[in-house]
This record gives sequence, structure tokens and C-alpha cells, in this order.
Amino acid sequence: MNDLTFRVSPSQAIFQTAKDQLDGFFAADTEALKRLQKEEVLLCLVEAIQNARVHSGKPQDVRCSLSLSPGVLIIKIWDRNPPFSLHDHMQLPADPYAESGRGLVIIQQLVDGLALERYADGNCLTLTKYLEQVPLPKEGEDPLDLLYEVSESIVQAGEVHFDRIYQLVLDKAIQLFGVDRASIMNFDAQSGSLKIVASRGLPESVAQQVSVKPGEGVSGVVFKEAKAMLIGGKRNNRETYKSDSFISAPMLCSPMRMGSTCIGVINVTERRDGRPFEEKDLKLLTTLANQAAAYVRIAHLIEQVKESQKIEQELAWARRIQLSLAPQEPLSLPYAEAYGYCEMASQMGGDYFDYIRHGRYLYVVIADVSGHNLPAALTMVNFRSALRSQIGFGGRPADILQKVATLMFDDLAANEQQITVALVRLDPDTREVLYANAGHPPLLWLSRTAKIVVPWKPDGIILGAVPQAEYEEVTRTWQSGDQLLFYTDGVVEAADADDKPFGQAALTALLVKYRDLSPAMVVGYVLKETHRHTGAQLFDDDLTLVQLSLR
Amino acid sequence: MSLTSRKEDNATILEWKGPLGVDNHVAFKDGVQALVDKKDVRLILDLGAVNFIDSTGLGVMTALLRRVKQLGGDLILVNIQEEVKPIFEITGLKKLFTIVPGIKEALSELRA
Repeated sequence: MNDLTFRVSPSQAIFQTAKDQLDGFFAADTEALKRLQKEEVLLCLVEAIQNARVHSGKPQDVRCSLSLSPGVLIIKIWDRNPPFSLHDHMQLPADPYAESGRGLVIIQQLVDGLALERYADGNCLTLTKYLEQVPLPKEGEDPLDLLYEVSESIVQAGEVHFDRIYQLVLDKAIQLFGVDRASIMNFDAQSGSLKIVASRGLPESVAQQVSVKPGEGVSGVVFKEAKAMLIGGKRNNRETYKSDSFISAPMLCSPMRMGSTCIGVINVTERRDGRPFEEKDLKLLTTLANQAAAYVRIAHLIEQVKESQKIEQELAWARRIQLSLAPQEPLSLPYAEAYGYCEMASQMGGDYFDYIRHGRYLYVVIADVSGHNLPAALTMVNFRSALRSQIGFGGRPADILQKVATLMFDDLAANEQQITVALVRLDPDTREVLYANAGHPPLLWLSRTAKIVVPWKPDGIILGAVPQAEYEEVTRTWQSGDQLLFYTDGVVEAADADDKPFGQAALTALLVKYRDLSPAMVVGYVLKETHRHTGAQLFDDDLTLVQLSLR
Repeated sequence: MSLTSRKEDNATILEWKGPLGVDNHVAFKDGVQALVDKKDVRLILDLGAVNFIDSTGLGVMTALLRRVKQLGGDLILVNIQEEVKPIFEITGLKKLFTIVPGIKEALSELRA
């Protein structure tokens, strides 16, 4: 990890400053520099600093930081400029002869990730650039063929099972070393000793009796020290590792390692032609042992997976049920069009949205149950029932929330869960939107005539916080072309690798940018941008969006 | 970082040394403006000693190209260094400019 922060004052030359800083930054890590292509990094840095200067009204310092961790370089440029939209600068100028307007496009082409965020009184532009992967050095020749053959046999065997792996490895060892006897011993935690789990050329009765303590005999020493051993065949060698071992020299013994842990040993002995073993034989056996250990590990994992598969299947069913509870089709009415989408961070989620028609009213709701997976999903289903039955009386949003809050309080409190809700009721006759909110993020109201986006949020406490709650209700009359975006906090809190959230500002900007598109398109673009923002980071919260377009 | 120019075969060969961009584009602009004022509009820009060009540098070149074309001339880029080639590709300006390997080719291009 390597970090550097510096400032470029208005009187400083950008190119020379950036170049000097980069030279210093990479002085110690020429390897990283080679893989990053310094010219490109320098160009990005110059463009980004210049971009910050260009958009400022008055001369100001531009702060920069470089941070290099294995595999990735992150450059941040801070300014104190008014907000500006990255999206508006992602196209080359329409006039090919234009003198300016190419800076951010150049950066975008040269980096792997580009993001702009609002902070305090300025913007932060983040550039992410991955170091090119360098190919690993090639290993020696023989072992590769060997590994290939063993893995091929195991794959062909179809099922990865311990016994099968052991048998295949022993067959291979007997063939490779021309021996009559070979065995695999695993450490048995119960008896605290090594036991034979598979063998060739050894009577079954003998194999079952063998028990070697770590540190005793050849196998025990090899196991304890996790180091392969070649015993040449002289009698005194055998004396050194005194035990009741069934093995006689000359022999080879290699530990089976998974990382730093030794799980057992492989022994081969009694060469048919009587030749002594050589160092290269030991290397070969070690390779084979490592391969076997890797497959044993896979077999372990598969066993675990099989157990969890049952649970997975049940969860998949539950997920299907939950998904079927959300609207299956976009809403399309003469006065309103809506599209909603929910992306769950885990198998099941606690986010919920719905369009419910009652009489001449249309209710649109978005809700977020705390936590994820099954507990959140169960409560979500419970909430849906309570809400739908209350809406069945056709009341006002504030009254509905109050009743649902009271109904659900005991259960929520017992399970230490909470629900945020935004509920609106639309009346096509009066063009009136009634709205109540229980601790949910504001709705974003895009006014067609005023061409602005206003976060809209009446007062109201989260469901599950208090047994009796009152909800403020606000109202607004819609004009044709007005839009309302409902979202859960998973959208604005979706974080990139630096833990920087996507933010409400970015969401607002997208809403303005795509104001002429259909609800489904708007939702699609917002999702795309959130994914672009988070990059390879996994969402750790459910993420739901509903875009309502009014006519 | 300065602009030098010499006449050859009814063309003006310009040479810029060093980076061309945000910190010195004004010097470049002033230099070429003086030529354009003298109606020297058959230009060859030798970039053999330019190892860095940014968007501002590109901007002064596109503005110059527009100006000389309006005046019936041309601007041909030669000796573009490996490290600055990508920026012409990214910005699509590779197609806008006439780019040839060297001065010899540029001169015959201007004659054509």
C-alpha cells in the first residue's frame, strides 16, 4: 500500500507538478509503473486537475491523492466547485474542431472506473485503474504432465470422493515409481495419530492396525515437519526413525499439505527393480501429494455444499414466492405509468414495492424491512398483508400507516425489526397526490414545468419504533409530465471500493438527465449507474426503485 | 518549449519541443497565430520532440486546423511519437487530421 496526497495551486504548472509527483510516487515501485503505463496515468492526472480548474469560478488549490494497493491504482481529485454532471461530459464535442470538451472522455477511455461525487462544498472525481495482470512464471516440465493426468482421471471418475481420489493417486504412484507398496495416511484427530486410509500391496489387517504418532517413525516425522523425506536404504537410516512401521527402506515419504496445514502423508516403498530413489523422485511424489491434497480439499467443500444445497433449494422456492408478491407487470393507466425493480443482496430480501388500486385511487408504496434474507422476507410478507388489508378500506396514507404501525408493533419489537415506508395515494379526478412517510428516504419529485427535482418527505417515525405513531400527510397537485422516483436506501448507499456511497445527488442528476425516457428506461439507467459505481463490490443491501410518471 | 518554423517547398514546417498542453498552449497559439496572420497556411507540424499532448493541446491543434482550412490551407501532422498516438485514437482526431510519417511525405501530400 502506497499513498500520496498533494495540492496544485493556481500558479503551478499542472503537467510538471503531476509528472514530478508521479515520478516520486512510483520511484520505489518500478514494476507497478511498468504495468500501469505511466504515460496514461500522467495524462489522466493532468486532465483531471485541469478539469477541476476549468469548472471553478475562481482560482483555487486542487487536491489530489494517489493510492496504490496490489493490483489497483486509485486517483482522487478534490475541488471546491459547484456540482456538475459527469454524464454531460461523457461525449466528445459535436463539433470535431472544438477547442475543448475532450478531457473527461480521454480519462474515461484510459481508466477502468470513473466516478464523481459531491462532498461538502465540492466534488471528488475518482479514477480507478487496474494493473495489468502479469503471467505467472512457468513451473518445471514433468510435474505438469503428471498433474494433468491425475486431474484428468479424477474428472473422468465423475464424482469427487475421498476414496476415489486416494485410489487414483496410489495407482499413479505405483505406476510412476515402479513400486509394490504405497499408502496414504491421514491424521485422525480422535486418536491423535496417523492412520492408513488407502493402501496398495499391504494386507488389509495390517493396514488397519497401523497407528503412528506425529514425530515418530518416518511418516510421523514427515507429517510433523511437513517436509518430504527420502530414505536411501541403509540400515542405520531405518534405525534413526524407529517405529513399528510396515515400511522398509528404500522409501519415499511426502506430506500432503493444504496451505500450511498438513493433513497426512503418502509413502511409497519396495521398488521392483531395487534401485534407490533419487531427489527427482521425491519432487515428483511431493507434486503428486500436493495435487491429492488439493482434491481432498475440493471433496471436503463438495460435502459441505451438498449439505447446504438442501437449504438452498428451499430458499429458492421461498424466493420465487416472494418475487411473485411484487407487481409482475409495469403499471399502465391513462394518468400514470410506473415501473419498479427490486434487486436482492441475498437469496431473499426485505424490500417491497407495490401498486394497489382501490376505487378511483391508486396507491403506490415502497418499503424496506431492516436486515436481509429470510427474517426480513417473512416480515415483508406480513407487512404486505397488513398494508393491503388497510388499503382495502380506501383511507388516507397517514391513517393507513398509523394503523399498520400499531398492528405490527408487537411483532416488530419482538424481532428487533423495523420498516421504513413511503406511501402515496393518487386521485386522477383531482390530480392530487397524498403522501405519508415512515422514516423512508425522500421521494424525488421531478417537476416538468419548473424543471427541478425536489426531495419530498413528510415527518413520520419508522415502523417498529413506538407502539403508537402519528404521521404527517402532505399533498401536491400534479402537472402532466411530473415524475416521482421511489427508492430504498440501498440505492443511495451502494458503495464503491472506497466505501463512497452512490448518493442522492447522483440519483437526482440521472433523473434530470433521463427525464424524457419511460419509467422502465429510467430505472434501467439508474441501476446501470449504481452497478458502474460499485464496480466489483457486491451490494450489501437490497436495492429497489420505482419510477412513476404522471400525465 | 517553443515554436520554431522554417520554409520549405512553399510550405511552413513548424516544430514544437516538449509537452503540448494545458501549461503552454497559449505560447503555441500565439506562435501559430503570427503565421496565420502572415497567410502562412500550408503547415506541417513536426511532433517528433513532443512526448505529451493533453486535451488542451489537442484543442489548439483542432482550432488551428479549422482556421487554416477556412483560409484554403492545410495542417499536416508528422513524426507523431508512440506515447502520444493513443490520444489521437481515443478522441477520434486521427481521422480529422492528415497524419503522415515524415516531412517528405507531408510535402508531397501538400503538393497533391
